[in-house]
Amino acid sequence: MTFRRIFLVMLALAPAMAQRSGDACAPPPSALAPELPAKLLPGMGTVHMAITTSSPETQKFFDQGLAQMHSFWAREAERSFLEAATLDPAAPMPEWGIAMVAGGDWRPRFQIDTIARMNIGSVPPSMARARAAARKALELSEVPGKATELEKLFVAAVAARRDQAQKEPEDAFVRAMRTLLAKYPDDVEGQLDLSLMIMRGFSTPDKKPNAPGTTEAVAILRRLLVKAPEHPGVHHYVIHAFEGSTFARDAWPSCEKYPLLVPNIPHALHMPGHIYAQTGRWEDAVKAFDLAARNEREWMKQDRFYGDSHHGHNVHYLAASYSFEGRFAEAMEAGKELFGFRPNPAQAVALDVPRGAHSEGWFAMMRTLVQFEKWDEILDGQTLPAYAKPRQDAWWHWARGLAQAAKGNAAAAHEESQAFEKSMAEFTASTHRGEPAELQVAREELKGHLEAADGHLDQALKTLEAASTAERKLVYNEPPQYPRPVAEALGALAIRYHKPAVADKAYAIALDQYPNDAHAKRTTLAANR
Amino acid sequence: MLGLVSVFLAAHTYPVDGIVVAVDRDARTMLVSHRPIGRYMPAMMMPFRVEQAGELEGLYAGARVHFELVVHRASSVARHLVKTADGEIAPPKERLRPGEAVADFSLRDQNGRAARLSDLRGKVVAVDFIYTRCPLPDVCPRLSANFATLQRRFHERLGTDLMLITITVDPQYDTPAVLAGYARRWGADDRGWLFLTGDVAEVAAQLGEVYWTDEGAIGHNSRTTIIGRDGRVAAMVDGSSWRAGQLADLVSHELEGKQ
Repeated sequence: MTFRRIFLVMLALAPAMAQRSGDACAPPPSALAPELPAKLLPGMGTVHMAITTSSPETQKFFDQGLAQMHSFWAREAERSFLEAATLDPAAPMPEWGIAMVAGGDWRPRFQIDTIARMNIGSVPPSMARARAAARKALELSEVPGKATELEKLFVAAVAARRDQAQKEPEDAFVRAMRTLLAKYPDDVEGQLDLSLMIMRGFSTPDKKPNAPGTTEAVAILRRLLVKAPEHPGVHHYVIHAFEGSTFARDAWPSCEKYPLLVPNIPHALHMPGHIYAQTGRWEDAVKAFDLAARNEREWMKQDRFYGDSHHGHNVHYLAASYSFEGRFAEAMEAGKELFGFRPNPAQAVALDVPRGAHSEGWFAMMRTLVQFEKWDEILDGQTLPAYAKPRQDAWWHWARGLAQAAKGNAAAAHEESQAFEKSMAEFTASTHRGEPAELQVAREELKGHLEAADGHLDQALKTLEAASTAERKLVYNEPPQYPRPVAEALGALAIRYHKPAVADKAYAIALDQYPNDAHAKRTTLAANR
Repeated sequence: MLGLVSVFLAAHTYPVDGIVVAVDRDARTMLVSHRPIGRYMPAMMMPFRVEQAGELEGLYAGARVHFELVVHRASSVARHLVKTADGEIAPPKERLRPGEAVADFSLRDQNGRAARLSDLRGKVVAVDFIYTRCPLPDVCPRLSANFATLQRRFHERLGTDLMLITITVDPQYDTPAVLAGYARRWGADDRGWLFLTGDVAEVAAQLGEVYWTDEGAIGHNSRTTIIGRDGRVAAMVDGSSWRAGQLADLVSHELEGKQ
């Protein structure tokens, strides 16, 4: 396919694909303006910010929109703000709300950083609504008597972020929020908004703050936990601010509180699972993701526009958690549920579909089979069917290469390695993108298994150590981008060849990466024996 | 030998993009409405002889093609012909092929009146699919702009000899009232340009239109069909990135060529 044809395909399929780019940790914004009327819904969380309006109903829908915004439910938040704006067209704050959420980028700053790298400047169509609303909010706020000074400062911040002339719109927003907080230092909403836009996450694998803002956001949120303990946004943002850090377990109280405050938003039920998974509480992670899945299936039934990307992310993480917990059947079952979703026609013809329920279901099954070393099932061609996209095809041959090497079939393993390389070449040629970093690690790991199958054990152990190091440097993502820690495979190989010291070290690494990883714990016991 | 070399040297090769308007297999030619060919030729409709008769296999009116035009001093020939398309989304298997009769359908127009295909027998009918909320200027608005161009170009025959039919793929939202507003936006003359809603699934499947909802969006593959006076498919064009003039050439050929 020529580059021109690829461009034309992308253009034709843009309505479905534009909203799909980036990760799926939070539901994407709606390409189309949400339909009205909105309803006042139970379980959205209680948030109140008094705004200038003549209509009590407007205030109610505004507050609901704000609560939904703090749980990153862009689509429903926009619907609520839109309803509020319809009820009182002269009020600037409902327009502020639309400007905040319609672009789908009311997310932690570290996620915005990652998505920006993935999307290379593409902007969802819904951003036009966010920009128009920002202009409208600014216009309405200038009408005498229609906005307080505080409201004007909120409006100025979102207007700065939505100004297309801004080269660094998030930084412009942060500056404006600091101006607001200089005048209103105790404003909880202002502090929350600032914290989200300055949290830059933590590095891998050493878990150090990526920027000073990361530490500042944590400090702000620790203070808000005391000051506004019933605010759902505080607990949600604590979870995001602490994930990937050395102190992730400090977010456990918020993980318990947040779903109680917001029992009817899938993302609110899902997020505690992130922290539980990182801190080795796999059983609690499973409960969180399962609860979110049950809630989300209800919303999916009610809304034909809902889509399956967030469900795909949530249930994929559920499957990964089952797998780390050591529950093979449940992990496979979760993967199969997702794999049963039909890709839409755009996904069916796209060159690369890393997200979406169907492809995440396939990946969940693959990672489970590899983590449990189900080599016969991987090779039977039925349990894990071939997947006709270069990215998944590379993973398929990788898994089969591992299986053949583990069974001592060196020649067959080399054939799978060659097929893996062919898929990688096809990926770069057809997508015009570089090789995915996680598949480069996979290549290195497969090389180690081939060396072992060829009888070069010392070299194999060195190669797997290098692959493990590279894997731990992969960009933070959840569920983990790599199917299972390379260190697990290194430990297993070391045990097989009676190298207990190497095995001990490998399992220690795996357990450091994923505390209570059942596979590392089990093999640690075996190593000690 | 020297002569052959000089002929070879005199030949020029140009890439050509166009839409097939008609195919004459006996004469080994295809009538193509093409885009400008470099500095050699402006956009127009003209016949091209192909080098290999087999290259015409599978071609039909409306097919989008790319080929090389090799121009010698006294002749020219098309070669290395490939079919192109905006998207790779396969239309449903039960779709009609050119030459097949379109089953009657009854939908509701922008004025709330029943509209049946059978009422239009004897007229050339151009059908496209859009939805009024489409946020992408390169898809539905472009299709509607192209129909607006047809309305202007064929205004004397609109309603009597030619009908434009725009069918929504978002019938739950696009009620007759919504479509009436959309029609006004495009300056549609309702004697000759109807916007239809209702149970559109069957006619969409017949004409190869695929659409779906996902993540707050509607995706579709944007097919435009020209139905002849006899109620049979005359031409089918994929996507939206062609030019209005090319569609007008297809319509004109159908209006004039098969009267």
